[in-house]
Amino acid sequence: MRRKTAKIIGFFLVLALSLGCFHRVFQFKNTSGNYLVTAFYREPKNSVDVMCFGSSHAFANISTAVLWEDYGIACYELCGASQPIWNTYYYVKEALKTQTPKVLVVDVHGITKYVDYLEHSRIIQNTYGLRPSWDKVENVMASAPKSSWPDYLLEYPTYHSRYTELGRSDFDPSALVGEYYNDWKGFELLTGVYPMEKPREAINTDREVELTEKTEKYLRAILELADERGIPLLLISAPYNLLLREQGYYNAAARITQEYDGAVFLNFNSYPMYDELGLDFQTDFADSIHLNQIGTKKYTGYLGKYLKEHYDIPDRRGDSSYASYDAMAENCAHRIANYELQQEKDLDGYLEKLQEGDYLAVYRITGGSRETANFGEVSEELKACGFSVDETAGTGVCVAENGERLFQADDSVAFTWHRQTDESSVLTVSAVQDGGISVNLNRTDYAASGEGLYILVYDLRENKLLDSAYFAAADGLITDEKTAA
Amino acid sequence: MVFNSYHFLIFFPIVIAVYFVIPRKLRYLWLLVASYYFYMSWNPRYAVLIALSTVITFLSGLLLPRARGTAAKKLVVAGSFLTNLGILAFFKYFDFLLSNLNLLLTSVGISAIQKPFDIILPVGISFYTFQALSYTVDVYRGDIQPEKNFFRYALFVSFFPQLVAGPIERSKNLLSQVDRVEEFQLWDYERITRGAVLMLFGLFQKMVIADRISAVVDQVYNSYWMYGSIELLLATVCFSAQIYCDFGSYSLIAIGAARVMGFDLMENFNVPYAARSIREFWARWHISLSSWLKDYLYIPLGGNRCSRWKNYRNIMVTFLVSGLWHGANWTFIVWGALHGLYQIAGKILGPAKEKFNRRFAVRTGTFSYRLGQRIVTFALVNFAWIFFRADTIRGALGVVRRIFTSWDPWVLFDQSLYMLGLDQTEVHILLAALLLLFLADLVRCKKGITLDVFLEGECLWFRWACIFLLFYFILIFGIYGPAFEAKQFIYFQF
Repeated sequence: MRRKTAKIIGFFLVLALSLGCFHRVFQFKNTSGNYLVTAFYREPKNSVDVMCFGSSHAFANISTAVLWEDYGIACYELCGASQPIWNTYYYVKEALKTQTPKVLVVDVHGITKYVDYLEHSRIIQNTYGLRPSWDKVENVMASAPKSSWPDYLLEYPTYHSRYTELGRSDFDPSALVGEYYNDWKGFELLTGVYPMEKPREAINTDREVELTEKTEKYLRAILELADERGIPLLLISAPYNLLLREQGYYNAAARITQEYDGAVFLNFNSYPMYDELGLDFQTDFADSIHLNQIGTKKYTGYLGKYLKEHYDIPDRRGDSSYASYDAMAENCAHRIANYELQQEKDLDGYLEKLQEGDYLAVYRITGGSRETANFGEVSEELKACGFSVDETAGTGVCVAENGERLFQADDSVAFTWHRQTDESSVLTVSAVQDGGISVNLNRTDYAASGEGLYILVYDLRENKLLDSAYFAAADGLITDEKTAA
Repeated sequence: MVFNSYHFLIFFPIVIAVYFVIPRKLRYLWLLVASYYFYMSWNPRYAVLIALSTVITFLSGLLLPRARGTAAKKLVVAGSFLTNLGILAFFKYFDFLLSNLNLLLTSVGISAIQKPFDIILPVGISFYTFQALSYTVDVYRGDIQPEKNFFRYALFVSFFPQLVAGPIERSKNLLSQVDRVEEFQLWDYERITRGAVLMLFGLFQKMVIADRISAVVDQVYNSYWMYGSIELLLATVCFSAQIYCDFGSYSLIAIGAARVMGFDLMENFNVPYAARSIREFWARWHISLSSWLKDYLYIPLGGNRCSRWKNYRNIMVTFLVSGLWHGANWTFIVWGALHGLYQIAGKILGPAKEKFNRRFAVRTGTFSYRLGQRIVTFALVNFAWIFFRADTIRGALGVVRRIFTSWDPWVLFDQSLYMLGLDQTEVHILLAALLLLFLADLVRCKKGITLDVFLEGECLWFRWACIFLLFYFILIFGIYGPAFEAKQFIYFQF
């Protein structure tokens, strides 16, 4: 009997352990939903002064870096992509279990959803991240039709079919953290420029559009929750190319907000507000609904000033327990520097920017380039990057880390140099049999085949290939304009 | 409530937990309540029909010993048969009969009869009707004593593991167990684990193989005119695997679930595709139905103890009834007729084949000869499956025509086969699962024991490895979750 009992216990122990492993590997590691919540749980208790909630209109537009650097505000954005207001309500509840912020900021774009249930992927993004609790169950029940509750509550049924898409980050979550969400405090910086026209003037209206019953219920629930807890609530609507109907929803939300003391609604979608922000729709957006690095600075700058003026929020800069905010600001600056490097077309500017970041660069210059008129000039510039071209003959190559040379060689002798750049990436530089030098990252050759200067840039902070640039040698010159390799 | 549903996942442990702890005397009542709940989860109104069938056959059992003379006894049996088969015919065949009658009427210029009402086919009606009727016949023959306790008898008819898709149990086996349920020693580690292993293997067959392979079958058969010989042949072979795994899995789960509760249900499948003749195939396929038809139809008709032609008639009638039992459609009748013809042809050609083998000294004991027999049997069974799977006779004939006229061997090489509803990854998963099924069936063939018995005799690490392999195969590669609605077991419609 004792033996059988031991067998049964052993069996269920192995089952539980293996199910745990299965869960870790197969669960969704969604960076614009689930992972935002996972990262939030790592924040020290009662450390966040401003909690932001909402959809990507919050987490892609409000820069935690700007709030920190310009105002010393310790802000965390607990959001989910395309998040409807009912999920936002449960996120607010969840946040208040561990944090006592001085103010709650909720972007209400979620009230513009006029359906009761969103599509499958959105439900997952906005429910699975929460820790097991009755609130999580209620969140699922609010998000999905009754017939689907077991699927979303058990979670396995929805992600077991991920066997077709498993990747490194599923087995090694640090890959995901390192690449994306290490100390971003929920913010996702979008770069790039998406020029567009300002929304038509008709948006400057007071006309209301009735919220759906479900939407109004949860909007009021958020207002009541903040009221109950005695925490000021700032509802906002970030600027974007909105529809007239959406403005109607915001007007309805503004009216409802007035019914509650301590709650304010700030709608940034009006011509006077655009002017006050100094927003340029030609340059400040990364896509039709999200601001870019320029736009977030303007928008968050205004928001930070407003928060400082209207609420009692301490300046945490210099406080050693908030060092993670410094790291976050550095990450953000690094991401902007990366974008600028990628956008840089001019050789001089490119080499200059390369000196400033946390990069591993491979420079390869071909033998034919030595015949060009500006070879000497380029050699001098490369020397500043750690590459002594004069010391090589034929096709030469140099690997440098932040301007410090690690390795240099030419194709006159056979050689192979490699370095493990992170846990799963290997950079290999080697002379090839019929002359020339190959630059290989993770079993892929990157170097351009033509004559000229080729540069591969690996980002040591985010552990990823950042750029593959080529300055061709043609018509007796090494061109100073970058082309894609 | 299908076996691979959340509903059953909650229902079964609750039933078991209560069953194991309540006083012994209440066991059968609890199982009766659970069985009716199980059946009513499809449609509460269905319970009336099963209750009616139960009452009629129960009363027939009570009346038979009291009936004086053979004529009176036969009258009781006829009454039980007519009412039960009448209910079955009405719910299952009314639409079929009406549409055929209308076809006849319109062909002679008479206007068609409008359907006065809609009939919903109650789940599993063919199964429990046959099970209940077997009781009437068994009492009539004196094989068993009539059951005096109505509730025990009601449990025999409605016992939930095998209620909607078999095995079709006999009163001699199941009713006698119901009568002894108080004596069951429930806490039997070996018995419970063996039952659980069978349930797991059944779920594996259903969720990993049957529901995956159905994608190929459905895609090709739903637009058969777009496909050539190879694809149609492949889809037909896939269907043979699908129906085996689908129906076989239900029986396995039913047998396993019953075993966990201390009941032994009869075997329903015994590696049917290893059969070397159609006759053997029917001794291995849907054993509970084929033996029912043999005991209660074929033998009463005279079996083979009669003239050759009468024997052929008996075979044909039995298989036509079998076909009709499977569904109200000419496709099933043709399917049954084909199997009847196969058997008759086997009997006619048997002596000639033996003569041929003797004349040319064919080595019939060799592996290759037996393999050839299996291939021919499998091919014949597959040919009949075409009619079983097609929606109409026209469709089935269309498939057959295209198999013989649209020769397309290039699809074996140009990746077309990965576009039949399953991509490369899914095909690899399917092949791996089929390999596991093949190994389990091989053990069955070679050792003559089922997977649960085989594993019981193996080392702990191997047993656990197999169980975890099956479990994770189901958990990862099973077809379930959003974008998938629990596919009904194919045999539920019968």
